[in-house]
Order: sequence, then structure tokens, then C-alpha cells
Amino acid sequence: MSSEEFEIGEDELSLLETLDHVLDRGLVLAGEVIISVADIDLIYLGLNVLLGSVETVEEVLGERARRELDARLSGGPLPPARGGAEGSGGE
Amino acid sequence: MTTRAPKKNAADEAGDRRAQGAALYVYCLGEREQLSALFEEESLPASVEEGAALELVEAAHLAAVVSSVPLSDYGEGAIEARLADPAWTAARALSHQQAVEFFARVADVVPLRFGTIYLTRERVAAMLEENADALGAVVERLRGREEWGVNVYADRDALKEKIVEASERLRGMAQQAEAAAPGQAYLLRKKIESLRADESRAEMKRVASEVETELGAAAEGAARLRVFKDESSERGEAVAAKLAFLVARGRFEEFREAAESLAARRAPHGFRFELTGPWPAYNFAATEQSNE
Repeated sequence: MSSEEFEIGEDELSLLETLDHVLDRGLVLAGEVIISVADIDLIYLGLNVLLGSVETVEEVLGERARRELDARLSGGPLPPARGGAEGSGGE
Repeated sequence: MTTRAPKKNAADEAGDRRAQGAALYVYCLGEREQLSALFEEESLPASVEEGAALELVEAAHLAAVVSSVPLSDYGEGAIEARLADPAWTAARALSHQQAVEFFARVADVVPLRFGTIYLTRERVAAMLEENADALGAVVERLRGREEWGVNVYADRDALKEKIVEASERLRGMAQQAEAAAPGQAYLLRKKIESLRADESRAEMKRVASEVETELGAAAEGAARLRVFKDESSERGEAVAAKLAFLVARGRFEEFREAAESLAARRAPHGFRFELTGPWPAYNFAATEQSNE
């Protein structure tokens, strides 16, 4: 496995993990607009299809999301760390 | 591009916002003192909608980070349709996370779920006032702590092999199948397959419990997260378990060592561990502590 392929795998993971945290967890307050979360599985399904590859993310999400991803990958605020438990990663 | 003066009179502001068909998206909340200092000193991250800056709504000893969003996208009915578009959702979920991360890195904040919408600043302030005690208790509980995720993956083939090796009964059945007539051998093999699948699931559950107990001892809280049916890792492994732990910053090394030790012990059985984080405490943000 080339290091480049490995990087792509990591990006996808952190993006999916991020979406999982933000969409399905976090404090639920009774806002004034009540969003039905019944379809959250469908949202994931769509996201999983969408996130098949990082190129697709760039293509579909457009310039803004790409910039945001770049910011995450270049050590923007708090990029999710990976590895560590396998003895590989870790700072 | 419109610029909203942060010190503008609250009543005018609400009127303006309504006239523009706008509402407020809430990202996270925390202590008024910590958050207002950040708003004065730091350059803030982008909001979920381009052109709208992050704002602070202060009430009691608390404050909420918000930004203006159009009701045409975030109003009831409208947002459900928007959420069905994965590209729209993913871009905004990322912005939500980046905004929350920014504050979680340097302050004690409670992250909110994506898509918490209030119509006016007054309503956000009233929500903070009314729930000041409960929300303050959550801020206290999360103080100095971060969330770390532990994903456990199982290599299905390696795990099945280990299970047959470990089970005398399955080994005996496999030998019987080899010696049996074709019809009986077929039935035996089917039975072995089903027993191995049962055992694999049981073993994954055992490992999940181990993770929860052993890493939980080095954390201030633990939560099991749901695993989607047939969920796989990018390497095609089965997802055996996903857990979240609330870890005090000062105990992270202890936590990491516990994770590494467990991962090393379980690697020969076909399990791979992955540590993700630090996250804002999304899984420990509920106002009622559910895990103690």
C-alpha cells in the first residue's frame, strides 16, 4: 500500500466519523424548529455513497468543503488523530 | 455581504432577522466568561452558511455560539428536504464540527447536535436562562475532559479460524465432516458455519465488554455507540464495536496505554483497534448523566 493510498483512507474515515458525531450525537435541545431525525439512517446511506472517494467529495461538495477538508488535513483546529492503539500513530 | 454588528440592540436585531427570513443556528454552549473572551481575542472559524459570522448569545452565567441561517433552508419542512441531500448535509456538518472544535480546544463547551434552530436571540437567551442549572452542571462535568473514540474491527476470517482452533467441539465436527458421506458432510459443514458465526458474534461482544471495562477504568465515562448493520471498515473488516470515552486531559497517557495494551493482547485473535480524537464531548453532552 502506498503512503498516498493510506492517507486517503484516513481522510475518509475522519470525515465519516465527523459526520457521525455531529449528526447523531451532541446535546439535543428543543429548538424552535424541530427536525425529524427519523431519517438519519437514510442520511448516512447517502453519505456513504457520496464519500466513496475523496475525489468524489471534492467534486460534489465543491470548493468550500474542499477548503475545509484541506484545513483539517493540514493540522487545522484539532484534526482527529488516528492510530496509537496499534502502536503506530500517536504524537 | 452583510455585516452584523455584535453589539446591536437585541430587539432591532431580532426584527431585522425575521424580516430577512433568518433564524439562529446553535453550535455549542459554555461559560459566558470563557466564550466572550474568545470572541474578543480570537479570529473565529466560519459558520455553516457563508457570509454569516459566528455570534454569541449571553444569558445567566452561560453563553451560546450561534450564527444566522436562512429559514428557507433551515425552517421546518425545508431542512428535512435539505438533509436528504448528502452534499448539502456533509458540508454543513463539517462546518458545525469545525466551529465546535475551535471552542472545545480552549474552553469547556457542550456540543449540540447538528441543526438546533431558534428563531430569535431572545429565545436562545431564554433557553439558557431556563436551563441554566442543568446546562451549568453539564459544563462542569465536561470541564478539562475530552472525548476519545475507540473503534474495534474484527478480521472475520482470522477470527473464525481462531474460534475453530479454540473449540474442541468445532474441531471434532470438522474432522467428522471430512470423514462423512457427502450428504451428511454438507449438513455438518452448515452446522459448523452457523456455530462459528454465533461464536464470532459472542467473541466480538466479549471484546467490546473488555474495552468498556478496561478503558473505562482510565476514563470518567464510557458510552457504547451503535454499529450499523453490516458496517465494515475501509479494509473490509467487521465493525465489532464503537465506543466513546470521556477522558480527563491529565489522564490521557494512562488511557492510551490501556488501549495499547488491550489492542496488543487482542491482535492475535483478529481484532484491530483504532483511537480517534480528541473530540468535543458529543457523547457526554446529555443533561442527565446516563452512565453512572
